[in-house]
Amino acid sequence: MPTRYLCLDDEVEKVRPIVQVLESAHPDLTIEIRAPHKFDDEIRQLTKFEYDGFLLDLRLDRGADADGKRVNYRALALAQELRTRMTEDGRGRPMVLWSVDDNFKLSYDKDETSHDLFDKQYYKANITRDGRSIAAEMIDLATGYKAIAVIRSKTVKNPYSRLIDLPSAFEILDPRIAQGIADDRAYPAHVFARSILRNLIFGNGPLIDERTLAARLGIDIEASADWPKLLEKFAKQAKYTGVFGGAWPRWWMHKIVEAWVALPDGNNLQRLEATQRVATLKKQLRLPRLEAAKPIAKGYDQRYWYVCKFLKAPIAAAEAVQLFVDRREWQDGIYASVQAILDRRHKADGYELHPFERARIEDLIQSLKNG
Amino acid sequence: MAVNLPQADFRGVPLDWKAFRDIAIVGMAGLTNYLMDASNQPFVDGMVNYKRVADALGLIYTQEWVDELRQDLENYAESIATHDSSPVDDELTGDHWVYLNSGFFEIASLLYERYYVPPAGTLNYDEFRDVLLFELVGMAQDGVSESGGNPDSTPPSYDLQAVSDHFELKVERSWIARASAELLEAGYISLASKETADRKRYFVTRDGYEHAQSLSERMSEADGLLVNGGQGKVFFSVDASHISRLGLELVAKQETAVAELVKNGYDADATTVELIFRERDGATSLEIFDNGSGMDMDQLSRGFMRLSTPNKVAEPLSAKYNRQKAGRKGIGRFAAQRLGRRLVLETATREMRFGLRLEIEWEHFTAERDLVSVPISISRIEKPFAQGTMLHILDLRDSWSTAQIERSHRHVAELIQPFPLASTSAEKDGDPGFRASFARERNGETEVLADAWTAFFQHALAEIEGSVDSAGRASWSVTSDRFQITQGPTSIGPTKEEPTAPFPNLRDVKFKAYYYIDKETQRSFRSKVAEKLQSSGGIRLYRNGFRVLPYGERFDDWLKLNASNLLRKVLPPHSNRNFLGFVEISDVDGTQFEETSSREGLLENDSFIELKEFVSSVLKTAILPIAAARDRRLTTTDTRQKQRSPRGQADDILARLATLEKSARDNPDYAMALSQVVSSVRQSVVEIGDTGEALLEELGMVRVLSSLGLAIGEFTHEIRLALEAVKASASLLAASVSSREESAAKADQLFEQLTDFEGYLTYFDATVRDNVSREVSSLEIRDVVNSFLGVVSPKTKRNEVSLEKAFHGYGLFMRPMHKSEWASILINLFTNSLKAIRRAGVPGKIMIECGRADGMIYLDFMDNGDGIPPTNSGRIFDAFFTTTSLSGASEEDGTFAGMGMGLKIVRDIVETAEGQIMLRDPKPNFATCFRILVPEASDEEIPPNAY
Repeated sequence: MPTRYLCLDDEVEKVRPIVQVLESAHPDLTIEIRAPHKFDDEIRQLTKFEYDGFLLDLRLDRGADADGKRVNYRALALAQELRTRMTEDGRGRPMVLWSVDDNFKLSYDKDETSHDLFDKQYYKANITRDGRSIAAEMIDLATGYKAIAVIRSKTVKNPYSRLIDLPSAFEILDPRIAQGIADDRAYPAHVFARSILRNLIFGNGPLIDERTLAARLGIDIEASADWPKLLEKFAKQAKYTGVFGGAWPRWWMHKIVEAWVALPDGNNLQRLEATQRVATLKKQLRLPRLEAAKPIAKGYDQRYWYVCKFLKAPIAAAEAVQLFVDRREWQDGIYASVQAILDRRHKADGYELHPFERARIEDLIQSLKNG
Repeated sequence: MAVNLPQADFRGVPLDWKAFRDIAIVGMAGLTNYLMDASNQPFVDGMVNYKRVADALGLIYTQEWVDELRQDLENYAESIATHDSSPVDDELTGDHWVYLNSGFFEIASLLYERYYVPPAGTLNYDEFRDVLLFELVGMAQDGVSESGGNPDSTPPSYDLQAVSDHFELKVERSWIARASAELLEAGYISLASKETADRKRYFVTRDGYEHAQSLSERMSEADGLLVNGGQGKVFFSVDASHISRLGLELVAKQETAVAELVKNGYDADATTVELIFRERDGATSLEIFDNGSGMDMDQLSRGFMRLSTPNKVAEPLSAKYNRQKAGRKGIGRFAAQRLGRRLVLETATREMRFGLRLEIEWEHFTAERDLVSVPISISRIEKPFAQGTMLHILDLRDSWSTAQIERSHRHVAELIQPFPLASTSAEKDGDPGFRASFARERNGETEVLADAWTAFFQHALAEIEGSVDSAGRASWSVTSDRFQITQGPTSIGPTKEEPTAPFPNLRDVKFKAYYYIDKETQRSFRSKVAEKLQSSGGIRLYRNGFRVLPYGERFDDWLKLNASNLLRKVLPPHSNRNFLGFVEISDVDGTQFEETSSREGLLENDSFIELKEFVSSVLKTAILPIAAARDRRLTTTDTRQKQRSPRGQADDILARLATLEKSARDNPDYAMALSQVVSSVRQSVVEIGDTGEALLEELGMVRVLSSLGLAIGEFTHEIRLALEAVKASASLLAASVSSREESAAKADQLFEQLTDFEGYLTYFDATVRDNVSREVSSLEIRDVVNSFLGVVSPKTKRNEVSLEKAFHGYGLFMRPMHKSEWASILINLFTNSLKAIRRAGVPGKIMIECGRADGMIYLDFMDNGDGIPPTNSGRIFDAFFTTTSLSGASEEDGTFAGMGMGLKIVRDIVETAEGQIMLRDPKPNFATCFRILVPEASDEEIPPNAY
């Protein structure tokens, strides 16, 4: 059954080809597009829940529709009202924000209260390039919301654990991840969705993404033909199987460690250099076509743990510089390699150093000043 | 057997791993520098290399131990030491460099005590009991509790175990119970009613005081002199080793011993103390002369030779300058004993017509000998100097290396307040201050060790003073000769809202700080001053004239200046390294500030918290006018620019006219000069007219360009969305025609071109957005080059131009400029290069190279185009000046950024930023090289989030 999204945009004709690109990126995604109605009418329409999800442009108040009419509200107001209605109704739908370019960062980022309204944001400029993954994510969001609805409709214990498919999750995880909603299925679906997405899926922590997994195993994915086999043979037991796991492949870090320790001479993953980790994997899993990742620069520590945000390469804690982002306590944070920081790659992308890293980098730069 | 304290040294001593680690840690903290040989310096740029430490200390170890030490430092001590790359080019020890933080020093000093401090002498029970009573009475007299704080009651009561612990007396378990029983029995102490679970508390009784007094008199007698007619012998009547041990425990370290002797001079109202370390034919001696009041017979016997407190308690202030006495318990004698095997003392007072000379052979003091036979001779001599005391300490126990002498020097210099703040020089009989000078004499050649402070004060950028009076009212002032600033006194209160409100607890405090900014220091002294600030920067604390540690030590940040400087809440630099300063607290009776029981610093009581708040907020406020003055100067010094500007010219003319008017009125002869001046004025006015015309013309052009910019800005968003739609359509089209190959290629091409287009658009968009804010900021040259290359890279592909960049050095921040100014500079140079490459018809190569040179940041823009012939290179720059074709777009390809307008814009931007643009010889394989130089940003200009 195809997933149906409704797209509201004030510039229907201009946006239509972009929507079509998105639709064509995945056979199971259909998107209807139309201009917004007057606020009350629009709310009435949308709360019929005829669609699996909503795709909203931030500015709905600029272009006029075919009849020359213009609405006087923006997506944030609409989204706010929709979430309220969804809370009353109990049903939920994903809401996705999209925008022409990063201009929206300026107005959207400053309005912190609205961050929790949307499940994800995309730039229209990226659709032609990333359409396939964006479509997959939109479908998985809708699927996830449906799964949440199913769990909510049953009297089950620990609905949160069921959603993330980790029995007795909070004996292992930081209890703040579920912050009071772990056992209470009365919360609306988007509250569960938001918690799982923000606290676990987006950002490494208890769950890690594929590049980080490779870094921690010391592997260069591109140079290792046996990487898919390794995922199957070794990492499968740690694979995240809860909601939203379809479009966002993730692995439970604690299970990866368990799997590692279970290997005949696997211990102390973090203390081993990439070559040692890979040697163990090659030997114990009989996967000869695995290659250890090379360090970004000569002399860099090869006990990789993080991935450089800018060079996408594995780095060890010694060369990892934390960036200043909104980070939950149980999450790893986002790191850049010292090399990328020296080349000021973070500045080009608008990132700042974490304040506690400033002195270290300042000292380093002072010491390198004339080098 | 002589009482000698051998210096622990583990050079060549077989060690186990644990001892090796501990000793290495002590060494890393710099506590045993005096034992290190001067081979490879283990301390560089705030880092320490532990392998070098071990080598310098001559430790015996295996390679595994070094690895284990590395592991230990990494795993167990990670929070206190951080490995990092080597600060020096050193293959061998590259792995062993770490940064330390203050936690490390605490651990190291604990370990130091375990390995290096000689064990305290053991007392027998009788000695213990006497000492215990003696100390108990001392505490009761000083009115302190056993922890050094305020007493629990009046009269104070004491737990004998705690008293014993406080003085770290080595006792056997049963002694406390036995001593308390005996003292109670003798009636020296009485049981206090207040009693905790199993610990009894005691008062000292009248009898107790008296007995302690008689004990001390017995000791004094032992030390006392019996003088007959100016000639005499003194004999000790009690166990000399008892006394020796008591004293020597207090002066275990050589620099402490020297300091005690210097303090004696201070207590005697001396203004100078001179120390000379002599070395002649292998014999070593130390000579200490103070020009204080000297001692008469009575004072010599009671003061110098006496080991007791009553004197100091009775007379806490010195006679002439009312100095708070600094010496401890008449301990100078033991200090002398600690330093050398023989002492010759000469002293004279102003009134005496003769001097006194005392000689002691410490070797004779041994427990075994019958003390009555130990002779000390004293004689009347011809007056050796007007007044003062001279100590010759002969046959020194330690060998004094230059490093050790310097260490002592530093110890003493840092102990003494550089000069007193409380009494001003205008005051009669005011304390003129106290200074110690050090010299070393080797086989007749004297070398004076430099004075520790004064030389540096005169290079300060500003002097900041603050004071709190006896009512808690505080004020501050700042003066700077350099910037002609004299501000204050200004009131300051505990809160910002009420600057005139008094501090609730803080009283009688003064401080003075000298402020330095590296770049402002006179060039020839800069490195010296910087070194001093590095090692001794910060605000020290002196209580009653003497230093209280650890405030102002190298790794101490008691005022949180370093922390605040990192946060840069107050923008001008204000770390400990920017100040040399000291706080003077005169707390004669010790009521305001309390020392901690470990005697390491002051208790964090309300007064102390207010003190910290007061000093740090004054410092942070007082540097603001300096910063403002610097800014003003920085923006007004460019006289070149000033002279050229119409306003500058007009001002100049006005000034000349005013002079003329006045002169002509005062003196008719000046009328002669009139015609000359008039002609020069005419010339200037013509120049102004020309400049004005040119400016008007240029302004017209700028107006055209800026409206163009506005139009672009207005539409980029619209274009953006339209472009996305086109892109999407193109991609749909490409998908639908994928079967037919020729069309597919064309669709791909279309898509690619649209992507290029999008790149330009992003650049416009970003530039327009940047222009919305007119704020300039300090930019790192990488940022401008990288964002520029990001934009032009699609274009370079099409033109078959390869683009390279290279950066030399890091932290290449420039004087604040606007981002779009740099965009404009680079786009113009780039366009010129493309044209030159096209004319040359070669595969294009462009190279951008940046770095730092003489306080400037340079950017070299090179291409391999047709180049500029040497004969023309001069005229290129002429062209900048003469190019006035401001009428509009006229270049061959219709771009605005043509040679005429483009390079003029570049030059204008660069020169406005006080920079330069020039042609220079290109690197091999390049034809042209433009170099742009702009000033490097100063520390304050670099924003806190710059990195």
